[in-house]
Amino acid sequence: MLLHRPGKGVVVVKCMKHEQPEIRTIHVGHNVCSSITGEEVYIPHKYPHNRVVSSQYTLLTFLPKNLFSQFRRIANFYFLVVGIIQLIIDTPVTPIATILPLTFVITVTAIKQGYEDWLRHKADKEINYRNATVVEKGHLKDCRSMDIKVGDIVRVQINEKFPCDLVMLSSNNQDGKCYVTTANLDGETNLKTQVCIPETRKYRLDTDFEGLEAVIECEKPVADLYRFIGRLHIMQNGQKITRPLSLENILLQGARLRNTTFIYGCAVYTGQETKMGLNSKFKTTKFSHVERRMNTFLIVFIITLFLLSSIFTGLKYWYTTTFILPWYVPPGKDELTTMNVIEDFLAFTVLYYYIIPISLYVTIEIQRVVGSMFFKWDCSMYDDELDHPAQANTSDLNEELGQVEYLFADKTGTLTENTMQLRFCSINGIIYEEINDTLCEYNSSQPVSNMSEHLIEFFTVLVLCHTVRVDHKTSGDTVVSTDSIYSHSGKDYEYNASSPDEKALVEACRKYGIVFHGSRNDHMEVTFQDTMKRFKVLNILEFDSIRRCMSVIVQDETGEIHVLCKGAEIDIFEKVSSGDLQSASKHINQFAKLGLRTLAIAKKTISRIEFETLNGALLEAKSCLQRREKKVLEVCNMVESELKLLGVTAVEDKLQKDVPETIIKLRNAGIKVWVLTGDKEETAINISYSTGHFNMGMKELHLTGNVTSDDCQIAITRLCQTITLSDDGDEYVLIIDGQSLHHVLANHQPALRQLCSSCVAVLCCRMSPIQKAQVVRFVKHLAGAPVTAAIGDGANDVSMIHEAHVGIGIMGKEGRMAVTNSDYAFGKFRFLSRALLLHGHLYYIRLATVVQYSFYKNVAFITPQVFYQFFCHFSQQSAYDSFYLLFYNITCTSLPILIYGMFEQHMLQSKLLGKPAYTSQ
Amino acid sequence: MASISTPPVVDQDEKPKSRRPKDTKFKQQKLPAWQPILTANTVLPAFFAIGIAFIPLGATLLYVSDNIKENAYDYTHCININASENTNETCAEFLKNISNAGETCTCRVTVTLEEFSGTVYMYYGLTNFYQNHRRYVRSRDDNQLNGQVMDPSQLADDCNPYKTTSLNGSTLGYAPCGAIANSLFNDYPVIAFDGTKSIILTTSSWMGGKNPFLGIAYLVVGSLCIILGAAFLIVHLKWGKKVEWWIKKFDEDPLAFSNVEDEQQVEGDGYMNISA
Repeated sequence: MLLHRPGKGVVVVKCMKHEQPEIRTIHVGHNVCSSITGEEVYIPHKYPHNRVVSSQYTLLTFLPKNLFSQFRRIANFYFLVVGIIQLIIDTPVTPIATILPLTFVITVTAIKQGYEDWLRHKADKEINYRNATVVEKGHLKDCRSMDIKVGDIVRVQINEKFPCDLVMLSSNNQDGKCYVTTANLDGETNLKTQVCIPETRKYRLDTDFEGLEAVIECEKPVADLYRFIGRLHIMQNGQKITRPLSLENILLQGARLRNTTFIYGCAVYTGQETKMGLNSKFKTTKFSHVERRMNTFLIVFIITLFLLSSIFTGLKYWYTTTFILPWYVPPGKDELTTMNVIEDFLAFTVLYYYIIPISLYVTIEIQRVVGSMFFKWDCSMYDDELDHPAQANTSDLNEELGQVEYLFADKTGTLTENTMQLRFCSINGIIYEEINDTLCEYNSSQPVSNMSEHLIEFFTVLVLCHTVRVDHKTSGDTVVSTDSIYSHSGKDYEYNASSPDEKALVEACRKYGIVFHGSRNDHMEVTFQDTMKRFKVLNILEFDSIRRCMSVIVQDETGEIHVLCKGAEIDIFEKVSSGDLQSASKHINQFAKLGLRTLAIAKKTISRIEFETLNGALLEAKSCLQRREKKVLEVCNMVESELKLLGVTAVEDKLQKDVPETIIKLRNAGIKVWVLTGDKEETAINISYSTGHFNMGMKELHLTGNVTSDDCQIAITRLCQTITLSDDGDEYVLIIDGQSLHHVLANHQPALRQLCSSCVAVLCCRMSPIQKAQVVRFVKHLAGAPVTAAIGDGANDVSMIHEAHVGIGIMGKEGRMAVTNSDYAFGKFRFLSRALLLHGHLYYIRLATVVQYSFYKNVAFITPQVFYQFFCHFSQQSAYDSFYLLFYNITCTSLPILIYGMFEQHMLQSKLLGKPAYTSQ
Repeated sequence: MASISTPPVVDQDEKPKSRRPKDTKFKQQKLPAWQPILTANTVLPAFFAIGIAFIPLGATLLYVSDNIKENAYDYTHCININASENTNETCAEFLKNISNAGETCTCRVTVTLEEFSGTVYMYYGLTNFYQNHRRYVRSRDDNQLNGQVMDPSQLADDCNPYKTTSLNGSTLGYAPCGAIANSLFNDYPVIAFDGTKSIILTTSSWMGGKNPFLGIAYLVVGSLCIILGAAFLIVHLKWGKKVEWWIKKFDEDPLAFSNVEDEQQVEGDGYMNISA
């Protein structure tokens, strides 16, 4: 189909193309700009329509698809096969006894699933038919949400949800900012700021867009919520300008616009290809050990069934050939032919098939769902602060909770509160301490009255080098972003940050009279003892876990350009060329021994020419669509070099309530606790002692600081010798760092296995997220395949939560990534003992009994049937009436055990929790 | 230019209501429950009680059963009364002979009843007879047996080959049809399947016919309970530990208890007071 556009010399060819291009080229508002792409012919790709389809069936596909999905369950399939056999052969029990309950179960399930799908259809329809507003030829046009196409310019009003993934073009705000909440996506309820690129800010009227000539290039859709790479080419005054697009420019479907009257955005991903659409597909399934054991039971019983049938077919033919058939029995198919043998075998199978407890699956399913409800209902696992009860994202792993042998705990936010407070800082070789909200020199309780040059410089970096957002509480409850509302003390400011450390540092600055007011027109506004200073933000190099530092490039009022940098001291020290490194590292060790988190602060001043070069390189790297991360990293390392060290901050992270008690309880229950943290060795060891993970008297084995694989080998051998030479009574703890672990996991796994088996506790420090998962995988494959659980609160714990048999999320301050990816989640670490020792143990006892009883009752039921064959000349006569067979399974015996499976408590709750040794297996 | 007024969107994100779960006994899994804890104090009396109850019951049942008179007379190989003196031909042999088809055979069994009082019942006994064979059991027509007049074509197919027969060119249905009926109206030729046939004469009592098994079973179980109870009592008195001992032991090394088979004994209230 050819479309001719009047006034433009471009032929638009529409054709079907199904393969997904690596890079999407989107003409904003369908204004074809051949001047940007350089292509004469614009071939639009066919992207999926913006229709949300969460429903699984249509009227036409419901029956076949639903039946197929139902018969994929082993129990239903088994029933079906037996039913079919019964219809074909001369059956000893009536097929009705099989087909009736099967039809009943299938129908009830189909009705339930059909109803759920109908609800989904309704919800889909509501979303798809929701009003949306797009800009077409300079006019606003109402349409349905499902009609939005990639490339449309969409207008979204305050409090509306974004209908698809949009690249933000402009908002009513002059700075080109808007605020969104992403509670639907990741559960985080705080406001987030999104921005548009400066060049499109001015398009604030519907009519403006006719003149907009822009092309967006972006990656093909990926599920990662925290990744968006693209660039925008825009024609301005006849010149082509290219800007990088990243996560801060995109508005995701499902998020909601807040505190912003309207925004305009260009649709980039629609329908099933939005981040939400892609994320709603994936669900990793884990199977519990009991379930796997149950499946082996099932296989054993199926083999038993076939064996029994074979033996009795053999017996029948032996008997009928040895002893002549009595004259009073009507003659039948007793000759030894293949067909007869097969038919007899099937007849015996049908006769004995109740040996497999069909009701088991239904019973277990109900039992588990009710069990997980008790988990959610438990008042003792309700978190007052968050107003959130415990949460079971799955019910398939209930009993696994009671089987945990290894627990992997994150430190920050899991063992600790993740509420940071600045305790010390070391500036220019002098330690300062915070006492009663004032800054004092160490060992003197006199507050510092006049800030020296060094102090001012140090705190200037602290107050500027961050990504904190300021919210101002007005008289009402609504939070308004306060770019323009000032208060000298800053007391009524609410600082919001993705990292609690940053928040603590900016709050500390406020206490010392250096108040951050937020940013306005690209300027950060700070009052130093009531004197306002404005710093122009030229660039922000955000924190990432590889560099482990962040920088802000600012221009002060005198026009000087500074690179302000803060980050993990190891990484900063590498980039530092001047400053008092010696005393700083001495102080860092001192702070670390107190269990404090330390950050190094550095800065440098650069000339405008230097800045232009660096900024250019940075812009180029950020505009790359391929290998962007690597290129950006290289430029960042260029920017963050030759720094001058200003000082060190030490932030305290308080322990959560009852952490030592919980760890001791778990250990008494025979659970081995491993702490995995990204923190440095000294801090981690200190926290380990204060949490009771390590006890005084335990001997520390350090496997740290080994650079090469050979070093590790030597260290491990030495540590193993220490253990073999020592007294029997000694208890050992192992401390291992990321670097050593890397080598050990690659080359010396057997040695590590041996070492770990002789240690009562293990502490892994300096871990990267992926290493956390590697440690879990290592333990999972130890001898005996122990059941592992991982508990954590942050996005960096997600990989280990996925890897472990049971993943537990803590609802913490670092977002909800861990919670949404976990199997179970609750607010505080101390609930863990209840979850594992009480709930998990009860689930296990209940399920184990249900499974064993179910198999037992059917064996007991079928045994007389087997013996009866000796009394009926092996003629497959059933000892029971067909309907007795039916109801024995469905009602008579499955209901009592279901009640038991839901409510049984073999011990008092207080006894289980009070003496954890009861639950150790 | 179109101006759009959007209706205020109801906020679904915020929930002012507290999400604290309800503190009910059901939801907190604290419904009143009975948790039986087995201790020597409860188990030993139970053993003796069972023994004391079962032994007299068993003795009574056995006594009653023994007083029932039951005589069985096997006539599988009884002599044909019409047979000549020297041949001693049995009825079984007589009927086996093809030339005697359609003939009847009469034999005589002499029955002497001593001390039979009250009603005397007669049973018919067969051995080695597979009355439960699938094709035999189902070879009947229930409607016909219920008294309905059945057309030969309506009879159940299960009756084959004793469903219909043809006589003088017309098809007649057996009444009753089927293998069961076919064998029932015979004085069973049992030799063919190595069986025996007998007449059983018996008196009865309030517990039915002669059945010594029940009484013996009660006696055995009761005696076992007494013996085991006595053995356990001795073990208990001699080697049993007081509850305080268990608590002390547990405090010393809680992990060692993970393998104790019956952990609940540890918690038994007043366990071992007997030995005090």
